[in-house]
Amino acid sequence: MNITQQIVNAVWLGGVYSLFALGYALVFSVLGVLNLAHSAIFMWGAFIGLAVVTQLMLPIWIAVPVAMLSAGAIGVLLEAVAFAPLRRRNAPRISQLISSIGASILLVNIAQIVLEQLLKDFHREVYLQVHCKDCRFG
Amino acid sequence: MTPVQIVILVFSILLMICLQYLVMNTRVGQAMRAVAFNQRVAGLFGIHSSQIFRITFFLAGALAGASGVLYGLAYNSMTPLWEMPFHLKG
Repeated sequence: MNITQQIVNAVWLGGVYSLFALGYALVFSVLGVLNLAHSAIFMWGAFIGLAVVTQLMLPIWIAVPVAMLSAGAIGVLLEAVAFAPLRRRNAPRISQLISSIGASILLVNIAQIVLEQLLKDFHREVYLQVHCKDCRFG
Repeated sequence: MTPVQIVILVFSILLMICLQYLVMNTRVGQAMRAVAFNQRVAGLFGIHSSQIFRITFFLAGALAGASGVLYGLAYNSMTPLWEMPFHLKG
């Protein structure tokens, strides 16, 4: 009983992890650069999904494609801002990696600012964490 | 074994199958593999590598966004800083 539950936990968590790692592998195999801002894009996907569900009151099966498309758009923007100028100047790959670290810090900080704003809008007294037990997040 | 976990698992496997199909069976995927193999030769064959890079980043971002929503869906909470363990595991 308990071991079955543990196996199920492991399998779905592995599914999510592999989905995440596929993005890393895709960028690394095609460009040859390690994109360290990938986790920031991941966080933005979750954040946009949360915003679509809680702010726009839409169901989750609309929030998933919206979050996927907008996270993809953030990825394209990131490529245009952080990677393409360096590639055009034939910079070494390590500088693209460092540029992606900077983009990651920027994206996380923007999300923190926006999320604090969201919390002010909600008048909730949690610090930085949004729990949505009363919304239709699954 | 909640239904949410089953939905997450099925959806992620579905996305992986879609990605496999896209990379292996379409012209865009073929161009992506060509650019990955040798960018200069792919350019000689008329593949715009910058466009392929853009498509690659879009796909990677979409996969990351999907996994983010699924992970948030499972735990019903998020902070901007929980990307860090994911980053290390990825």
